[in-house]
Amino acid sequence: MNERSTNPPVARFTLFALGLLFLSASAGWGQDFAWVASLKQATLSITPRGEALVEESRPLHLRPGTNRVRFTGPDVNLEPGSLRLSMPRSDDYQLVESNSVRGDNARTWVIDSSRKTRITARVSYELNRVRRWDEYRVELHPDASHFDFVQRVFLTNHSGRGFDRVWIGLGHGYWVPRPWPSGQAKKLFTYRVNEVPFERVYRYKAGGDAASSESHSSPEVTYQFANTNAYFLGDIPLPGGMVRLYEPSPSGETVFVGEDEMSPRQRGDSVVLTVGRTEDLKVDRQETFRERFNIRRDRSGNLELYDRRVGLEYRIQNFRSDTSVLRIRETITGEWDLVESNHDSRRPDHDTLVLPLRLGPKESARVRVEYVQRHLQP
Amino acid sequence: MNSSRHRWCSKGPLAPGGCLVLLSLLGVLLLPAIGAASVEFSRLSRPDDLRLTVYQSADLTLVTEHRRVNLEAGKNRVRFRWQTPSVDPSSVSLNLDAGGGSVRVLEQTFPPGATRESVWVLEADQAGRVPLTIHYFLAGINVDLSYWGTLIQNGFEIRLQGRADLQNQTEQEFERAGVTVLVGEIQLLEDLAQRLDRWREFQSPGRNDEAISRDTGRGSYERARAVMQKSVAADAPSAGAVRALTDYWLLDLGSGVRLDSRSTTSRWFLPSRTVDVKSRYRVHTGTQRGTKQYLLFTNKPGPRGDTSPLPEGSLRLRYRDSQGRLTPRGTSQLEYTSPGETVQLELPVTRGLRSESIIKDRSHQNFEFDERGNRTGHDVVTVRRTRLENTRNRPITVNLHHHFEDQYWRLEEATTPYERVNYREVAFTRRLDPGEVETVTLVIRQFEGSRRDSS
Repeated sequence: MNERSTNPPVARFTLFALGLLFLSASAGWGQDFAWVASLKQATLSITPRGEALVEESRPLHLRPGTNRVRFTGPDVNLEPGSLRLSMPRSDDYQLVESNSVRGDNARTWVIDSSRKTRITARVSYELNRVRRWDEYRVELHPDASHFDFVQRVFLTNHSGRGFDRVWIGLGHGYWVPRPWPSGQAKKLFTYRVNEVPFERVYRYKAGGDAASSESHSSPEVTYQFANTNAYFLGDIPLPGGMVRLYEPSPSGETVFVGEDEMSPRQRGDSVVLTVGRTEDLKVDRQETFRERFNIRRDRSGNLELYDRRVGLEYRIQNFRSDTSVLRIRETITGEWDLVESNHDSRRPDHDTLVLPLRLGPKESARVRVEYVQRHLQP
Repeated sequence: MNSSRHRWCSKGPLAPGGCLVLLSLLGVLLLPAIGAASVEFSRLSRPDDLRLTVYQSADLTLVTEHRRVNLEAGKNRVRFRWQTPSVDPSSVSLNLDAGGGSVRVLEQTFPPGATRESVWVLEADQAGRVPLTIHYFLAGINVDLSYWGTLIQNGFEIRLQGRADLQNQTEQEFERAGVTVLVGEIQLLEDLAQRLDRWREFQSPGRNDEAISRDTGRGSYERARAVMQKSVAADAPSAGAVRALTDYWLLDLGSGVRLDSRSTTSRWFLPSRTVDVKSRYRVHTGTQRGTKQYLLFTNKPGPRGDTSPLPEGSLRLRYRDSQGRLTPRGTSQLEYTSPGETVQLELPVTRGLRSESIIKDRSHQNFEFDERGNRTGHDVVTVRRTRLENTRNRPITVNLHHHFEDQYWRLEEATTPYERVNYREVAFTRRLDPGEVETVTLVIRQFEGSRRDSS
């Protein structure tokens, strides 16, 4: 139990409001205080980075002459420099001064009014210690070709400012009215898209400077889709967060089958989620030969540069009972050219050779590749 | 209590603003009276069905509870509490089952200061009893899969049985639970202790972290792990059914499983299955040395045509002779074996093959020199002789693997045909009759220095 949460949120809210009411009507401040009525509406917008902006609408009764409005929240952890008062544009009144005291969560606004009037003013300020954490739940369909995509947002409010009812905004038009006492954590279900198609691709990564003559490992399981209309997504940019995958078992139970971190995805961005490894698709990679040629030496006979011819063989066995899409990604450093391959290949970037394969149930394949690396230094 | 005040203000005859005006006029004397109001929660039934999915590759269990709740028309609060600190609060979620279509989950809250409690706000169109499912992740239930393998029929067959030992290191007891084990390597970006840390950091105001950690946190979870004392041997039969997910497998350990706190419960996951085995020897020479014996068998479909993998686990091997006497043969590690895949089970002790590998001759040839007369390269010619003797009373197959340090070599002569495994390894396969002796001779030329240019 912490200090803040022992303080009842309504009591704190009351103090906050009383600060407004009492101080504004206080005789100690003379006769020039405006009468501030209670909160009409509050909105709280929270960005994925946890920036929380409150805007309160409060009726304001102005008298002819100079009016003062004091706003204070002694227990509230707000950004003092962010306090701002805005009023409907009018020639009848004018905000002439804004005063604050260093270290005090209070601000006094001085308003000159030419007549008695009642307006709705807006007070905005940034709250500290409001946190946001985005997560996604992906629920695979039994046909294993579509999933439902659900965004969940966790929020905590340790600002000291509790709300009886506040419109919580999480971006891109999502606003929901909720009570939110200070100290409470909350999970909201914000965005759901059903029947998202996806491609399941197994990815086997090998090569690089530390490549050994042989390697055996299980390919990664990846789920690939995009934040576009083609996937029934693309309405909004997706904030980054943890993605957890669930799959129904044959008996109907929901089973968690892995997770990945998704970086923020703009509209049109592709998404690749790696959730685990498959043990039923085996890749045995062997470097069958490695030969130097075109050797260049200096006048003293020291080896300066050489070229290298390398042979690779992948033996793949699909023990699965369905067709599997496998992409072998071989990292090859330096200058190199593909000499020969008994299979389709592509080179998406300078350092990567990709061999896409499609293996039927229980099918096996043997892929051979030969490439030449040039101008290697000993 | 906070929620109660909140409810009173929002549901009362006065609008929130009016409520505050009233409070400001009547002063603080009214506040305790407000606090006396109580929150009404819709009552959750006890679990109709409880399922535990235990992950073999991680300290993680997914708990699924099927319950029912009586809801009034309108907004309802449903409170769920758990007993053990090793539950990840962020994972606690509620799904409405079929029939709950007129009910919506508005939000889920975690009351301030309550570390083992979550409250959902549900909105129902009409009153009624609604089925729902609650999921959460739990740490502290681990599964250890192991096999018992008995060689029979003079070693030509092996009878396999698989056992799952479920260790419940939590403070919670589970009764009449359906237990499945997920076989396969799922990706977890953080373990449950890290998740709990992250949740506490997220939920704490930022200055009382230490106190919260002492109260409910990782410390107590670690203590729970350390005090496991009781071990219950419950060799109860179980269903042993295996079901396939897209990339993983579920071993069904049956329903009605009782997991006492800090105890171990055992269930069979692989009913007794007898398969043909072959013995295979592998002799390594060169940069790797040693002789190993393997048992080869194929993970074929079971008697009912059911296909399932053999999950990774230790295998206690025994031998039952023709007299029916049982002798131990040590413990091996069985790697994950897909349906239809052939297993190579390395045996702890090699019997039946005597092997000896010696360098019979070594010479240096083809020296090269630079202009100043310094030696720049040469060849090393090695004659390696490996003697293989079958000491068993049946034919055996031997794979002889010779390993090189690098790619600068040439096999100039070999008494038997060979296969090039990769650029640093060649393999010979020989079949030896009972008592047969065979010598494999290799003449290897290795290139050093500038002689590598011509290799």
